[in-house]
Amino acid sequence: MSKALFDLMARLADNKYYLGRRYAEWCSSAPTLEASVAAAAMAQDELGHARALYPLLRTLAPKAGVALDAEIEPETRTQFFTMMALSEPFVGWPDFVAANLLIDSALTQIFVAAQTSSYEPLEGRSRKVLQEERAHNVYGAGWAKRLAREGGAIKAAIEAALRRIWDETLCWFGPEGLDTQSDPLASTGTLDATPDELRARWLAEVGPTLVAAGLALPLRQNATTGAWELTESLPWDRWDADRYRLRALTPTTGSAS
Amino acid sequence: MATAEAMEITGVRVYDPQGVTTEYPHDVLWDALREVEDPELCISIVDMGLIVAAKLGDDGVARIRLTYTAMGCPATEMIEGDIHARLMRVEGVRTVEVEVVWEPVWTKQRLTAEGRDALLVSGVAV
Repeated sequence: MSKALFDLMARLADNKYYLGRRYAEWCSSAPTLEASVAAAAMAQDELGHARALYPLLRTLAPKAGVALDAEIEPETRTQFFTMMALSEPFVGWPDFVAANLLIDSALTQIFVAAQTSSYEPLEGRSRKVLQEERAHNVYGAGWAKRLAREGGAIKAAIEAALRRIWDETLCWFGPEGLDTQSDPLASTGTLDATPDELRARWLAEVGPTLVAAGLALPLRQNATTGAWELTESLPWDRWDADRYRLRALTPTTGSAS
Repeated sequence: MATAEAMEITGVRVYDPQGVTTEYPHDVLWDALREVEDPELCISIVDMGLIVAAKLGDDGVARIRLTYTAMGCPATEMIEGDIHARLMRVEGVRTVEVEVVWEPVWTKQRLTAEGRDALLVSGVAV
């Protein structure tokens, strides 16, 4: 359990940190002055969340059997739990919007699920994080709709950006098929949902925005149950369970590297 | 360390036609903290509602719990330094311990009436 908790906190902190860095790179180069200001504000939020999470690793590490010096300090860590999608700077504004809409909201789902967490430091931070994240979700959805409305190449660009990070965002919630007893985080009350339940909650949040904007992603709403469902299976053969990220496809063979 | 119960001083809610604000206690620590300003807004950190609890122990330790309006506040080190410097000038204070907490979550209801008015004068909507 200790290792599972450490890994959860490490991947939350690392992805918050890298999302903040990626947002910060657009503080002076977004399409509008207002968007640059928003990028700066959201970067500040994400880096602040990371700053509030990293100190917890220091207390969790000994129980998880993780070496303090090598694995805790941001300057000396040998392994970051950062999504592949956040490992490199965004190529264009559509990548920013896609991460804002999909990845940012995926991270937020964890804090939603931790509001009654048995791990008190996470519970205590979750309400503050959620207070600050409300505007992020609205912002990402607003820009996705705006770009989609433009049609043509602009709509194609935002669709492609969303599609590039779609699989990894969904996989990031964790393995499929775990029930409450077999999932180390749900079974201990660290989170109030299994990975499959987190995925379903996230799909229910982003699904209406994507469909309303006419953005073609592999999901649909079940006409009978109302639940949002994937229409393509996820690429678990490329899932790196240790680092919680997808391995890249090699350009020539299409196989995982 | 003081117990959570002993530290739990969150002020008294005040209702007026302009909305809800909070009044905080007056004692040697709270009054000294009123002289510490948020460096961005030049408003007392007590009027901003940042102080969650303040207690001077028999051991001479001033124990302060504070929160921030945002987790990414860029002025945290400056504010905590100013708190330390001001409280070390209070008679009976041997050392200062500052703990940052995220509960209660800061909302505009934690402002005092004076803080709310000062923000409005500064052009900040509250």
